[in-house]
Amino acid sequence: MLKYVIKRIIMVPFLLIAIAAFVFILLNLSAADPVLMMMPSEYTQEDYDATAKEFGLDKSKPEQFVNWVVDAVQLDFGTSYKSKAPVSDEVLFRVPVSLKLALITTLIMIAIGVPMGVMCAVKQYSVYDNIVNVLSKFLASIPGFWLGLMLIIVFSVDLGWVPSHGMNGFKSWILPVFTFLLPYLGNYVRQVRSAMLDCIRQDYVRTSRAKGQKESVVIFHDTLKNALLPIITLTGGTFASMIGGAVMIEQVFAFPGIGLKVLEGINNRDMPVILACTMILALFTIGAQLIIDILYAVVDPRIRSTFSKKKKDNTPKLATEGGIK
Amino acid sequence: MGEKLLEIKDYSVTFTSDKVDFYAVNHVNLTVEKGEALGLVGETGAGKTTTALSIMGLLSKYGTKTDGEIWFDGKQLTGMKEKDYRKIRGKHISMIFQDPMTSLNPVFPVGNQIADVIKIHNPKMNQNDVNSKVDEIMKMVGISAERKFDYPHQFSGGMKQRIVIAIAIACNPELLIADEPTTALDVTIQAQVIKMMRQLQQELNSSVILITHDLGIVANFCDKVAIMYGGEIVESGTLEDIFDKSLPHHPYTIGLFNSLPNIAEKTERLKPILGLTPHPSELPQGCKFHPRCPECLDKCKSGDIPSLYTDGTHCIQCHLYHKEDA
Repeated sequence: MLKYVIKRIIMVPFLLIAIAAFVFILLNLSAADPVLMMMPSEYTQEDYDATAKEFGLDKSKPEQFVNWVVDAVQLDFGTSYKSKAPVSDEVLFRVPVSLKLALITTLIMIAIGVPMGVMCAVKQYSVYDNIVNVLSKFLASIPGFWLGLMLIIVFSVDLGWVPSHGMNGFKSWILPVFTFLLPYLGNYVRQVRSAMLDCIRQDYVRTSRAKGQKESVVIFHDTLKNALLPIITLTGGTFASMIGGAVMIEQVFAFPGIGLKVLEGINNRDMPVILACTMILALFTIGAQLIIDILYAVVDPRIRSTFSKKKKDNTPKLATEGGIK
Repeated sequence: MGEKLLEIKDYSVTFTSDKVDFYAVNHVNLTVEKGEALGLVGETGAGKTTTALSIMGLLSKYGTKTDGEIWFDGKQLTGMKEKDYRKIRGKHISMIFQDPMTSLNPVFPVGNQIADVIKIHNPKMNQNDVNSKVDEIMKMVGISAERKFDYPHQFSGGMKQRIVIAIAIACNPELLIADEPTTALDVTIQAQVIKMMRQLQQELNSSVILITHDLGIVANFCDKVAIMYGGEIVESGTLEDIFDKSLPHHPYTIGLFNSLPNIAEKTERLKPILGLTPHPSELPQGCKFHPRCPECLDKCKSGDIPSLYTDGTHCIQCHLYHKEDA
């Protein structure tokens, strides 16, 4: 198990370099010459060469890439073409904001979504199930910007309970988190419900009932643990997509997250910014994936046993057991 | 005659799905005495498992209508509160399920799954006692106690069935319902499992309802036999009543025996019962077996269910043996 995790962690840097190379090539395929874009409308060849030299763009492409990698390892992501400021200063302080937003939203999503989805599965086709079903479809189809604006109008403009934008203190997080959460929650509840439904009709659930087990234990212990695999996948994937996917929320609530910066970078063809943000998002996606895989093994012994080599085998096998695997 | 442990009186189950009624069990009467093994025999879809689940109170609540009474040890199970029923399940009545591959929870070690049932019914027992009880039960079913930390996927089918049996017998139930315990196993393992179940039954002095379609196992294991067809019990009696060919039998029972290969006569083909089991949503009028019955009379095709022909412990639900009266 530990060996597997270490193996996966060793893979991470190579994966990141591969992603960086891919993004680098894609960006360089776009025809625009970055030096030209930085030039004023009237310029001399000397100006051009000086700027190219300043940004290291006079070197060959492979050389540029290697230089970028060497700097990036030291958390120096180069200088923004647009603002001429170090990209690290512009991007890195945004990471905790995006991370915090995604983390809080995910935790609330689990806390509300799992019990709701489980109850839907337990009371399938009941009034409760139908109401939640309609509600979650409704939530999943609300556009985020509209929801954000409506919440601002009601809770900050009319009622004045929470600030409408900015990032000062606990209260200012409430609206962004909920605006972010609700569309995801709709989908999440429905997925948890279907994961539970897959398990709830299984024979082992009946076995558990036949033991005289309490219904609550049957559902939340015996059945839910089996339904956790798809739920973990969904949760991890959602979390990873939330980190870079909060553009709308960051825009509406003026939150300095990473999503907006990517968008800005793309609009300006600002390659160092795009690369830096892509790397950070990739790192979190890979991290989330790693955690998902580890949790898989924690939850499901069948996966665990494919990871770990057969431990000391001192149990005498009966003739009916198929010998060495 | 022993003491009555389980009594099913005029019990019926109807499932409703998409406005179609499925008559799964129809007016079944059954008694099981203490220490007795009853074989419940019938084709797939005859209502055997539904009857068993009814005794356990594990039928799905939705779209299910039941009628009649089930009594266990002086208590009425039908209509019992769920909270009280839970105290009976696993402790007084327990069930061995048909498919050992899917009956065990894949994400918990088997030892925990056995310990669960002990802990549920002995909440005050301390962990050490529970553990030693688990070891003891695993030894009873012939699995080394060291393997209790293993997960179901690390066991073969026959071993899984032993674990399922271990869960069922963990609290020394008075009544053990074995729903085709050997169907999913291959023949050599079948014999082992049946032999083990019989030993356990003698050690624990439990009553057993053995659901099967294997008449060989019935002959081996049971004291009494009930033959089910179309949700009804068409013939019942002691093992001798059913297996003695010189006695009168329901045509379905005769068909069942004829469809077994016989070593004495060298026949090219087996003699199956022609036709198919009726679908529980379209049971025929009159006697449920008449469309397939080689000795079908006019009165079989309509009217009520034939009345019982009884001879001591032997009951047959067929018009054939009322010829003189008609």
